Amino acid sequence: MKTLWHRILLIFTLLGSIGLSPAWAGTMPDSAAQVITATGTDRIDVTSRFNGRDILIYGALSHPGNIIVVLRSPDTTVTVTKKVQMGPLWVTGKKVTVSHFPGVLQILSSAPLAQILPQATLEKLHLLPQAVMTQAQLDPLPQQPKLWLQQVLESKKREGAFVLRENAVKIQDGRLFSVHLHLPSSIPLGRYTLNVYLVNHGQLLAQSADQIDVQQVGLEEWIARYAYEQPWFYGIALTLFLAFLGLGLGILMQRKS
Amino acid sequence: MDVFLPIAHMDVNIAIIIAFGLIVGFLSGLTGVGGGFLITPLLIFVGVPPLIAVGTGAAQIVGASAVGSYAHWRMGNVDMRMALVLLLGSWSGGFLGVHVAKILEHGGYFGLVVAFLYVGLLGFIGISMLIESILAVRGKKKSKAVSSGKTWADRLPWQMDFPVSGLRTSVLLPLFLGVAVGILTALMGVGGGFVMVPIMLYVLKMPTKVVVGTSLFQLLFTTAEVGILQAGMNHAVDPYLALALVLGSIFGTQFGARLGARMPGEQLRLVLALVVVAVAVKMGLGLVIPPAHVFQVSQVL
Repeated sequence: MKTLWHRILLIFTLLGSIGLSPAWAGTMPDSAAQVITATGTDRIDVTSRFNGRDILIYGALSHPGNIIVVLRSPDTTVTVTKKVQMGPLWVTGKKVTVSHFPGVLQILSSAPLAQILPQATLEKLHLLPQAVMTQAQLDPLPQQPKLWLQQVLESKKREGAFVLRENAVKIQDGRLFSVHLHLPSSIPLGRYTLNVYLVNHGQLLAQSADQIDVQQVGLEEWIARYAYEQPWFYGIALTLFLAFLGLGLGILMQRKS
Repeated sequence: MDVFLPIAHMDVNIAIIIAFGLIVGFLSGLTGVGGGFLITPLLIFVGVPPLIAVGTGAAQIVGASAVGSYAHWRMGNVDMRMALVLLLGSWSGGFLGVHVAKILEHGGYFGLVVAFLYVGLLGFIGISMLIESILAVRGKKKSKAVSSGKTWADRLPWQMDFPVSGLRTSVLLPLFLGVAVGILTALMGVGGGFVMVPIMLYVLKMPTKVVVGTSLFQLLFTTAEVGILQAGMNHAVDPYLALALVLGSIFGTQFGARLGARMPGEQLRLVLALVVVAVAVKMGLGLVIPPAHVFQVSQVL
């Protein structure tokens, strides 16, 4: 946790410099505004016992204002199937593959987004769900693409991958902010981006960008990778292993009795 | 204990999976009926994607049936020539079935097809077992009409001698039986003993002792082939699920077999029949009850 302490120290140094020179802070234009972000962790290890994770995001702001925290995972592909009624039965109807859609998108702010930034800026920063939907690609393209994308969004909300929590970020003394994120158990792997925006009076004053690596570790990572890269060898090895396990244990138990 | 399944890509309480293995193993030890047709629906009920439930179901039978096959082979209960003809059929059927599964999954219909197959097959097996065991419990013995003389089976071409079973029959019969069982293994994740054993007994007229050994032997190698194909082609075999099921079923079978020796067979078969019907009804309800969400979103890996 060396980096954590390092970052806390950094924040206090920054706070100190802001605090010791109020004249400087007051006279400088907004372009000098700064937001410094630290995370409780910059790496998440997904093991076979992974069942979600809380992450603390905190930091310091040089100017008073509101904070928006955005965590976004790499894009993923999902399939959406629609059940249709055929007589008394519910059967699978159309299937649409949706790609270029973030697996995880969490937007947390210290005040309702619509109150702190104008619509145009929100759009520019991809802070609206619609922005996600315009980038997505559907194959085959259904008649009402918006309806299908809305379903993906709803499903991701239910599993906790898509989160929009306004008023979640706490700001103390106008200088420190903190927020807890919760990642659900089933999340895409890869490099997540964490963007923090400092806004005031409808203006973006400063932003910071960090990364969180989500990776599968240990035996399970090896197995999962092996199963995908060498599926035939994996199949043969697993089948032989199961056969000998069954044989060995079976013989052992019959001898005991 | 929650475990993240690397292939199924979901969280599952692994103790529940081991319990499934134990219960199904216990039932199959009690009654002598293999339990593959219960494993796949149970996995689907806890949320495992149907294709992975089917692929893993087939793979776990390899572990669950290995020791039984070995024991029967040691005792000389395997008609090798018959087993090889059956395997020729079931390996082709398995190959075909795994390709069909891949196509169905690609179109999004695999889960639906599996549900239909299970409702039909389990409903049929369960109800016929139920009728049979109710009759048996009441003490009425069905007199079997033993037909002697030439049957249609004797007129088929490619007759072959099967000395261990002490019969001469057409190669076509076991070949087609094999193909059917191979397809069932690939599409449903079952060993297919419930289809194979009655046909071997009543159509091929093999001796009971040889039927049990030969069907176990062939289903071991059929499920092994299908397990490898499902892993290789469809990424459909989850190692943790398979391992937990094998461990559970081996211990369950041992306890079941010990208890079964001291319990009346008719009542046991009645219990199994009720379980089978219950699973079929649950699967059937899933087709009729309006889904909570008309749209289903699933992750592509």
